[in-house]
Amino acid sequence: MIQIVFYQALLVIPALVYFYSKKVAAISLAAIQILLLSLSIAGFVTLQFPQILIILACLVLLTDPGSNPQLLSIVTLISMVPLPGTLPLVSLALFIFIALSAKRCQKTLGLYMLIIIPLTFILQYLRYPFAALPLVLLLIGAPPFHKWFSDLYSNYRSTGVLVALTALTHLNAYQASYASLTSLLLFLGALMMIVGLFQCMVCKTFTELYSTSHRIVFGLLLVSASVSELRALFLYLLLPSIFTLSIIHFVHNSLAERTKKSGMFEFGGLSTGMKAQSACTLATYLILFTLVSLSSEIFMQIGISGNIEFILLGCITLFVAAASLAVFFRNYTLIYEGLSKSNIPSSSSQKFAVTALSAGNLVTALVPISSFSIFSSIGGLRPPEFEALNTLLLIVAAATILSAIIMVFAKPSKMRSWTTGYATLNELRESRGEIFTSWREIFEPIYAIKVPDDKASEIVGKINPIMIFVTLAVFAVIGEIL
Amino acid sequence: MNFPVLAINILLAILMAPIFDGLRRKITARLQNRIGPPITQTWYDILKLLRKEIILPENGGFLVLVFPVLTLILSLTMFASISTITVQSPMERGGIIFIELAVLSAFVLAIAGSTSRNPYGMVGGSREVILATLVEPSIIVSLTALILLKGSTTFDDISRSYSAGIPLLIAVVAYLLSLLAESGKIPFDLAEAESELSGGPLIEFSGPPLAFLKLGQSVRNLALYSIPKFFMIAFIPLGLTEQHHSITVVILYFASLFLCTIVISLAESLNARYRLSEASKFYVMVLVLSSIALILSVLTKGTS
Repeated sequence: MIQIVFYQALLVIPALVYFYSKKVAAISLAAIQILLLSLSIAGFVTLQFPQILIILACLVLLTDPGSNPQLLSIVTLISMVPLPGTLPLVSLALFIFIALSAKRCQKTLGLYMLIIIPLTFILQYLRYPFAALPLVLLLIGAPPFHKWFSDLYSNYRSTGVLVALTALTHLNAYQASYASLTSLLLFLGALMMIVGLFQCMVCKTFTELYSTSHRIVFGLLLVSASVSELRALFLYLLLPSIFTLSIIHFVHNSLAERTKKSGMFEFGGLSTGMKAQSACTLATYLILFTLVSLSSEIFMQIGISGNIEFILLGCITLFVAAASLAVFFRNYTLIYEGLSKSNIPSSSSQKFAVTALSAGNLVTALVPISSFSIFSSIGGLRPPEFEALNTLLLIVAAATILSAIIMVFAKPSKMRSWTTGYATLNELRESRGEIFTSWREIFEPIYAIKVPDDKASEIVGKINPIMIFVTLAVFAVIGEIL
Repeated sequence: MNFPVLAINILLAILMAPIFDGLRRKITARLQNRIGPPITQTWYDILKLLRKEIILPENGGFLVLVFPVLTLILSLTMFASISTITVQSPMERGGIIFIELAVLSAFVLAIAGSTSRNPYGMVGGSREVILATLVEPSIIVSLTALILLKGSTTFDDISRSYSAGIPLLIAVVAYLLSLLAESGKIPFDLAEAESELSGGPLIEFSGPPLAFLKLGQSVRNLALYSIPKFFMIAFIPLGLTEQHHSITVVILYFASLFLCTIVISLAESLNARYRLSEASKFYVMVLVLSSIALILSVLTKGTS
């Protein structure tokens, strides 16, 4: 116990060093995390599963050049403190509120946090088993709070991911307490995925891209964290999810920093200078798609075996999986393909980092047992039974290898693109290609069915948070009396 | 996994898919008072393309080759997951894997078109995405209704249980209507639109990659045509014994293929190409129909 407190105290060092140098702070934080993991493997320190996960997540997130090691170290510290019940989550919410106040941004989100913290204590005092539910939903960015999260991610991307993961591991650990609210959590998870998908279709900036990817990933994790039958799936999804979000942040953040541009439409034609980055981004999107599709397969299986509500969830997830592939490819194309607008040479260290992250992502996604063995070797956990294999990822990997073999042996020749002769290819690209780029053609029919998401958030945002607090508190007390 | 059945299915797919595509072309030609090509024509086309050198568009990268190969592998796996002329299922959870692959392969073709960076290919690809976004939910929902009513995800079990009813009837109608768009032929050939987009997603492909795409599309269609067999089993009260089961399965399988080929040919001959807005309205209706089938299936399952 004394040892753990000592190593936790070490985590304060990067936070202090940050004022001197951001780089040194990141290196010292990574060194302390690795030291903690090594001591855990050697058996000197006993870490619990959520602690291992948060350390691993922190290590992966540190590769993002835009990550904030000061905040990451404080989040890790709070997450690792063995506090009972809802206290770690309350501490995290307070910490985010302080960070937001320091930046003088996101007043609405800050206000909601301040309101939900006392609500958590009231629910806990009244002995509600799901006292931390509003706080968990707030930290994950579930509806209706997600509207304010898109801006939060422009300031604290990595920290946001780490905080959401902490909230999810809390939810998973105290699953039995939330049993009466499983249907609500499944609904919110499915809603996050669908809304994330539809918003991802029309996203224009990197900030929107982060928040929509976050919604899809954390919607899926929220669903799998809420049901005991899905514990194995939840554990399997954790590491690839962290890798995926980290790669999306890493690649796009470095692009935005170099060009000082944040709009996705301002890029295009980068693939000659950034082959490693474009390949890794594409691989990441494919892996994310296979994770969603594997989960849909498992949901359907549970649904057929008797749990009817999972049938609908399976259908939704299956659609999200398939449509997300096209949506991800749209985002990939916007940034890397098309007319060359700017050519950015990439550094070798960036290439190495993104390739290493992608390799880690591929291994943990392709072989579920590999991510389990990481947890089991460090924390002495028994890996849960997980029979499903990521078939789609295997097929995609096989197709890529086969194509590479054909490419090597058949030595294809290149030819100018085909055109009708009535207009030059560039003229066509500027006129008709633009239709593809903005995807107006797709969204006119689809958006005839309005996604009510933003409107709902706006309406909720207009209501005074104190009113919401009072109403919820009154409901809680009435529920207790009844 | 049953490897011998898997191998039989893959062989069957490669041999039969171009033949049934040729049959569709023949029937369509006869309905239009033309002689039409021989039913082996698709086979000759594919063989000819396979002998040619690989030429890639100068702006296209490695992905131009990956997606045709992926289309073929996905379609073959999709076909291999069904119990076609055998009673045994080649894969466990084959039903779910089939739905997954069917939905995915629709989007992969769209992406393949976009990789060529040709404006026509991109517009064709985007249209393919619209259609897939509209049609795939109906396919997912109608097939889920079938699986739910049969209570198993293995095709082996699905082909053995005989429980017909209104929900299954609605599901089969929704599935057949979705099949019209899935086959990519008139009136739903918006993506390829030969006269307008010169082939759309396929415009920049030639030689072996085009052969992979064509074969992939044919195999995918054949796999989709095979599914009505499982609906038909429920509606034909033959009172079969185990011994007669395998022969009936083969007969029903080919009946299903012929039925779908004729339906697609008729739709192709009797209609003009739909505009995107017309197609979207049509498929919203189909989605409503398939959702009704699923809701009724859930209720039926709940009461049984």
